[in-house]
Amino acid sequence: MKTTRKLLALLLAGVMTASLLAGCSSSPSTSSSGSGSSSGETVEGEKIFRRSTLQQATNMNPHQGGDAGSIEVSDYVQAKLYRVVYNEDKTASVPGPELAASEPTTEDGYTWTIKLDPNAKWANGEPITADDFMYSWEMALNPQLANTTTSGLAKNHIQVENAYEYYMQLSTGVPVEWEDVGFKKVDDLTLTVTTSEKYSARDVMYHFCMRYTGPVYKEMYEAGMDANRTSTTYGTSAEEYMSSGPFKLDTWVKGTEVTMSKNENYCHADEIILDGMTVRTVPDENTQIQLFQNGEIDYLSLGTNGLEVFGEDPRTQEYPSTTLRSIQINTENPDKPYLGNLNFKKALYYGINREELANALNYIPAAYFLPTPYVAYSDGTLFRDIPEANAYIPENNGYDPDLAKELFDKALEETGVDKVSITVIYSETVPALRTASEYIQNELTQLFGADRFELKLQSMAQSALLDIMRSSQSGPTNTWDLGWSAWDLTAAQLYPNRKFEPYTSTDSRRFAPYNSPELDALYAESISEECRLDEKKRIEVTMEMEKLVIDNVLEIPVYQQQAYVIHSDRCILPSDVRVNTIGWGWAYMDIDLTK
Amino acid sequence: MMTEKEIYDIPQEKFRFINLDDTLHDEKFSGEALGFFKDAWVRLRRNRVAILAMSMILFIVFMSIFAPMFSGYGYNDQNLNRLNMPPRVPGLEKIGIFDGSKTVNSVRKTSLSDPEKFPEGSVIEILREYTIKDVEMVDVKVNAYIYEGIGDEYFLMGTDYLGRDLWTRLWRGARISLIIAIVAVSANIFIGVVYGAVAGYYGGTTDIIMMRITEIIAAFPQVIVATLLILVLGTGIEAIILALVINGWIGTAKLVRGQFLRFKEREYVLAARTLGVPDKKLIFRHILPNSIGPVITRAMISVPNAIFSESFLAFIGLGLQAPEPSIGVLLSDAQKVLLTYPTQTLFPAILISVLLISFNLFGNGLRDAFDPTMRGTD
Amino acid sequence: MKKYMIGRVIAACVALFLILTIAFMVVRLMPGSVYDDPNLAPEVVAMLEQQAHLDEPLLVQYAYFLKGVIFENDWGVSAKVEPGVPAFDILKRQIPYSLTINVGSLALALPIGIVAGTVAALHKNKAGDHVVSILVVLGISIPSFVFASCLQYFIAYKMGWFPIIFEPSKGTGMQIYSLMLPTIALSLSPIATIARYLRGELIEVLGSEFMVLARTKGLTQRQATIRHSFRNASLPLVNIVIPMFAHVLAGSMVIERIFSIPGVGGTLISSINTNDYSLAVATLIFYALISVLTSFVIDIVLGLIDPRVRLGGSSK
Repeated sequence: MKTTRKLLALLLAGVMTASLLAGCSSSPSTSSSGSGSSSGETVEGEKIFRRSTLQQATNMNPHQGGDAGSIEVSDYVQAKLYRVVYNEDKTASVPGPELAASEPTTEDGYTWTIKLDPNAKWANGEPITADDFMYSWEMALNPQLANTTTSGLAKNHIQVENAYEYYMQLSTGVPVEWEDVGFKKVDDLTLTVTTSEKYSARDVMYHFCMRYTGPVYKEMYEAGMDANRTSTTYGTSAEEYMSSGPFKLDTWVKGTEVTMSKNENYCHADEIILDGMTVRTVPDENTQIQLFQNGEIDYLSLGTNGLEVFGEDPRTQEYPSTTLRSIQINTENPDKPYLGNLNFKKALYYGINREELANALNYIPAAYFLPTPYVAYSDGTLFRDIPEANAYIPENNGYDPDLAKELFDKALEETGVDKVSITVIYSETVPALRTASEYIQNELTQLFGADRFELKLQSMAQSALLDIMRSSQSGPTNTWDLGWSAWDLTAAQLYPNRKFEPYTSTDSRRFAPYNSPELDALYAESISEECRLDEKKRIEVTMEMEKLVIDNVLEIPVYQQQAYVIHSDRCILPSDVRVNTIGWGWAYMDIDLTK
Repeated sequence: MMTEKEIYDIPQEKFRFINLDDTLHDEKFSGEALGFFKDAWVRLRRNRVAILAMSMILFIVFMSIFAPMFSGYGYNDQNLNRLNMPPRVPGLEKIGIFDGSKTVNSVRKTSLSDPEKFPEGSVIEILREYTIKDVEMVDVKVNAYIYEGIGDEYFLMGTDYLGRDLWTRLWRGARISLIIAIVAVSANIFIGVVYGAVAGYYGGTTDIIMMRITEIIAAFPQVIVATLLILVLGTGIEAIILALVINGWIGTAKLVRGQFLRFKEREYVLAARTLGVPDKKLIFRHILPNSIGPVITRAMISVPNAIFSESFLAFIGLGLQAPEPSIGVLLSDAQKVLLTYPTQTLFPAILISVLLISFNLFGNGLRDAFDPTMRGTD
Repeated sequence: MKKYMIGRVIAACVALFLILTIAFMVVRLMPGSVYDDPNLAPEVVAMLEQQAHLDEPLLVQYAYFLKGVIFENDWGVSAKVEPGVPAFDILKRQIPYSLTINVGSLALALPIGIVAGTVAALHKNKAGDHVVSILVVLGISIPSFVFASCLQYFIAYKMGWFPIIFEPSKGTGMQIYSLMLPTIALSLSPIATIARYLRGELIEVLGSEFMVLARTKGLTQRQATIRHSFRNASLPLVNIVIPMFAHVLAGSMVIERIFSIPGVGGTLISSINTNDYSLAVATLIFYALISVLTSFVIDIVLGLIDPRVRLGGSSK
């Protein structure tokens, strides 16, 4: 393959010239297999769902590559102990067994026994046993391998005994033996997991739904290991990966195309209708639109252009994303004491016309902290659908220009400043942030008056942005004033209280100096054993926390992203609505071959 | 006819003095004495194409200074009720171009009768009717100004994603792009001339080392230099200018070095050196003027190239700090909506083309005008 | 000549080594960390950095790096763009795609550019010249993304003559076929540059005395042009065509994006933006290598053609 490509490269120069001399117009006729002919009835029997993504898949190793492109493919080829499935009327998701035989059982709430499905098999037919899981988890947390995404295996929905300590041991200097970690094999089909606190079965199941808890195929994992055992090439190509999910990875041309076919050895293979899936990496939006209109892909995510082209098309569907963009405030900036002034922070909060901005961006205005898809109760009730959770959100999406002006005047008076001059920093990779920043700059300057208020914009790389904003953890700093951020904690989608973890004054991920003892106390309460096991109580505390952060303007929420998608007529989706954590349910969909 | 003998035989008294009362003069120059630049100007003036190009450049400069002032809109005046308006030009709209019309795709046929969505008189014609999932759909051509309900306004080049007037933004962008280009090119020329002159004049080991250094600098793609600079300095006009300067001067340096290698062995230089003229004077007074023509030509071609480089940087997300526009920023924003709002790309692309052509033609004119072998020929 | 060649080889090696050093240092001095996931706790980031030797002094890191590169051809492992994949493997996979469309576009541009330039020069200030001039202006001034998008929209999407994007898995024939449109899109600017350059050179040569001599010998204009002036004019073409290769390669990023070609174009930017050190250095070195090689080839070629180049500069 490699030699052919080299030859190809060399030959192509000649071919190009030759074909050109022969005349450009002759080439299309020589190859009749041109674009667009793939749809129609010629593809008899093969139910292939074809879609495109903006980002390429980078790594199928569940311990690596937590990027969107990888997850989009990995979801279909990597099995876990548990998975999210539809509830009865297919409007919400509930956890259910995948490779496990049943729900986890416990006697004390600390030690959990998980039975494996005897039919659990790799794509090559070999059985998946407890040894596979033990090996995978040991490698996931292996300190030398230093996997980037696996700290969640040690603590996410549940905290596994000694697992985090084992993972971090080279950094902390405290050696921890693998035998002391709370993962144990009982027999070939039974595992136990010991947690350091008490949890519910739902917590445990959601924990083992995460991609990085899935098994890896030992033989290939070891074969790909480098000499120092610090990295492995497992999952970096189709040949070096063993599928276990509903589909198996057939071919993977890096950067362009992944093809999958139905995995007959999957333990729930009877639920799968599709014969296969194709995922194309198409980084340009306009190109994607052309492919869709040409019938070459079945699914399209609509950006600015897509919405222009498809407008009121009845196939268009929309759903709220969990990404909520807000502005952080460096309240301890020594040069600008007004940043810590509550009235000033409130003036900014009430001064932004979120609705107008969100309309221009086709997003949802957000004056709150917890985005709409976050689930409150185990029956699937959404947090934002609870009436009490909306009672404390200021009216008009938090826009009140008169109040903002008044608060601004008060703030200037209190701090004794004539003119406010601040800079907002944002990540250059998100175009909407520039639009939003430009809008807010223009709007606030008009509202407060250019003689008293100046807002500058500064874009930077995401990594540099994090560095600058987190520098305020080590004491007051004047390196930044305002900065855009977005918290999208996966754990918070099911446990909304977890959203506030990074806002506590001791969390090392926090961006701004929040320092709210009340919030610290409330958060501690929300993760206490009582609240963990009583979801009603947990949600009550969560509402209190949200009210507190809005009242104190810990940060300024601005908008929540909204996604617009379109499926081709061929697609028969399992549910009419998009369900949180399952998505459109492509794994269970059907294709109408007559269209 | 007198024979030779007769001439010898002219008696002395036949001779008389003439002009005895006049003082002796040097012969007067027939024309005016012309300086180097004046001479060039004289020749440039005869080159009609070059003059046209120069007027075009001056026109763009003039517009970039004054158009934003008199457009009636600020470059950052936003209005979210008029996003992405198509261009509408008084006069031209009568003949059907830039009349403020645009195509709205995928509209449900029932929406057409909804005055909320399509106000009275906004629909010009229905372009296509089709059915999707049993819903009747149409693509319609509308008058966007009635459609959006902003009535009697004229945006000569339309508006952008925040409803800002693109006419104002284009000229302001041109101003900034020109400033970036001119500053960067001046710095490049200065550094390049000095560096090339020193390398070329001293030659030998100095030259080899200096040329190797340029090779190393040139090995770093401009994109990299710009990315790194912007990571360190933050986006802004300074970072972009620096990025254009860091490896932009190398071409000029090589050119000047080449000129020096050619001219430094000439006899007049040898003569000057024998007379004890110091190195510095030799370099700048005697050899450098030979390179002025090529250097100026190069500078002229470099200006649009710098604008192009700036566009490329903007395109990959390393543009100016928002909300400041530049031609590059406008182009890269427009690319995202190229197929839906092609006019947003059209105008900046035309401007950049006109700049490129004008600077090239003007540069060619200057090259001919400064060519030392042509001096005084006309 | 041998001495000259050896000197140039040594100089190129020294330059490469210096570039390697500068590239390494510059990339490492960039602000921010490669682990930019906000969900990752800083202590975990510190641990990850420790495992990747990123907490050691720069010079020690440099020593590790040099040792890997020189003895094992180990350029490090990408941490972000394709986590866990050796940087060398990524480039080895991507470069053939980029080279294919770049070499292809130059192969396309050379004959067309030369023909267009010659036609323009022979018909100076006549219709042919004007047509070429207009094309040249368009070719130079149309941004490549506009041209590429239009080609894709009209020729591939509307007319259906070519695939809209690169087709990796339908056989070699289809691969080549789907790469043609991007190759054409990429060749526009080189065609214009070559045509413009050649026209200028030819016009100068056509006006020189030896051409008059050639005509007086009885050669026709065509014969004279091909036999004499063409050779003279095309020698300096070396000077622009070889560096054009490096230039086109850098500019193919946009084209690769639009046509979804998995080439090396976007790697440089994405690796730098995400602080993927190993991949950034390796990619940087690749571009530097192309640049140094082209300048080396120019020197050698010009040295072979023109003895003054070999001797010049050192005769003070």
